[in-house]
Amino acid sequence: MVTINRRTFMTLLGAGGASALLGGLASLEPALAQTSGRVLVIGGGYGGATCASYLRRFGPAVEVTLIESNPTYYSCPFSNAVIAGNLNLETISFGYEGLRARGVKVVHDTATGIDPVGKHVDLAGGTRLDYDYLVISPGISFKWGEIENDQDAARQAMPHAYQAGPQTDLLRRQLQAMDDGGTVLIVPPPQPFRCPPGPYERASLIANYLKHNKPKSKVLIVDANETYSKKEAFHEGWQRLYPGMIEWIKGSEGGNVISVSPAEMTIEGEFGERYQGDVINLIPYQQAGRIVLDSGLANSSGWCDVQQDTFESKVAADVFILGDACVAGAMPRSGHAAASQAKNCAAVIVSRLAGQTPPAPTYANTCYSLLAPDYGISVAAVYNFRDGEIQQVAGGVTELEKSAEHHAKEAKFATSWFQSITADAFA
Amino acid sequence: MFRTIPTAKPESTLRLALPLAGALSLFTLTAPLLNSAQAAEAVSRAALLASTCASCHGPDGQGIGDNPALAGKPAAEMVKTLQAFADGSLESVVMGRLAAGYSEAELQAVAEYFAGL
Repeated sequence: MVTINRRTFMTLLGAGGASALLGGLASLEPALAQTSGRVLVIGGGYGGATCASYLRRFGPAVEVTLIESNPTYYSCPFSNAVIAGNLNLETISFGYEGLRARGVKVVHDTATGIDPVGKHVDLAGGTRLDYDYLVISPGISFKWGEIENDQDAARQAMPHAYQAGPQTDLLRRQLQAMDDGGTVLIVPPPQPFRCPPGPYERASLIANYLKHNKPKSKVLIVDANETYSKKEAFHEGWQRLYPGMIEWIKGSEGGNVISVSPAEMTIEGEFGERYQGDVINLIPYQQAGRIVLDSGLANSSGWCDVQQDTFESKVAADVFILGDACVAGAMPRSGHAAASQAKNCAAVIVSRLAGQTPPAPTYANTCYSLLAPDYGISVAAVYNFRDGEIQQVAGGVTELEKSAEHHAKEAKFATSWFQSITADAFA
Repeated sequence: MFRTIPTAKPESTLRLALPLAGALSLFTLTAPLLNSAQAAEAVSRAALLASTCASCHGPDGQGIGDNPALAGKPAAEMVKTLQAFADGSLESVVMGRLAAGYSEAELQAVAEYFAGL
């Protein structure tokens, strides 16, 4: 398919023809530029911020309001490097000035109620906002109580650090205070959870910190799952970089944790195994963000079902749900996936406001994991919408037996990716 | 704070008010060379495809860090490079895995989009 943009169009016509037709073209283009309507976006993470930005890029006259509780966003991608002391918290924090400069109205308040019939959203501050289209990118919330004492433990004794910010810093400080020879326990929840390779990247970068600072220490991953994202590539890297330092216990071999004791700093598996940790990272069971659960937009598993070509909720018309909170076929729950969904969703909304059919969707994900500051691996894939759901059409994980040079390149590209995707969302 | 503005036309009304045929009739008199309604698209498929690249190659494909700029690159050269990534004849870190996911027409559309920036 060849798209004729305005410049090509002018070239095709030649100067004379173009001037004769300018009147007609000029009268049409403003009509599109003025495609207007009110769009509310709830949630200012990768999904929400990217969607707000692209709504303005695709539809410069669309009125976009972003509702986000916090004035600063802390990125989960790269937060493991903060835990390991490679980066500071400042490096992964982003404000909303860039979106304001793009013409997005940013309201720091919390959505407390959604009325998809009356088409309005209530905020904790008492404001009620009307919308033509609503985008919700609420991220995750924790399913407390699946592990005995989890909520109490995760507050301080066993930080989750799975919503970046103060918890990231808390886990970093606990690691730094730990004596050499200590044991770090990482407890991933059963799938699905956000950022499937996240706990294993975390184990890697913590091992990197320990190797250089507390070399007698160990990392034990006590995992509810039988396998995990990029497993072979992680295990190969651990053999190369941290032989004997990282141990992984799968669910069927005692990894399924059912109870924790913050006072004793122990965790207990379903067959009665007990593990003692000096630092314990307890990652809770997960579900979609609070607002969609409270608004009846989630299914019985706690996630949101959407039309996978538009991300419109299957429950409420004109409401779109993006990112970690939704069920997106073969796409994983990642910041990159959320941003990809956000751009498609912005295209759908701007097209609908213009009374047009949106372009066919196209989705991608590129997700790097760092095993050391100079050793990266990745999963990269392209997805299409086929037979009613999102299916992978190409892609895969970094192959095994790649050179150190290859992994150093992946690490450099990971850093560039981070600069790029955050600029695309927040700048 | 937020200003309440009278509700704009709901989508259903807009759809009725701006059927494709209506939009096209504007064109037929003035722009016989135009390929159907493409030039009038609010969001083109090429722009959407190009936005995919912006996640790694910087907003508008301007390049960032170690990820090269795409904007302004000649289209023919870009298509050739992407096809070489896809068939493995050109070694890459992640681009081989990604480029293989697009049709020739999609690669062409995205390359022309960036060439025009």
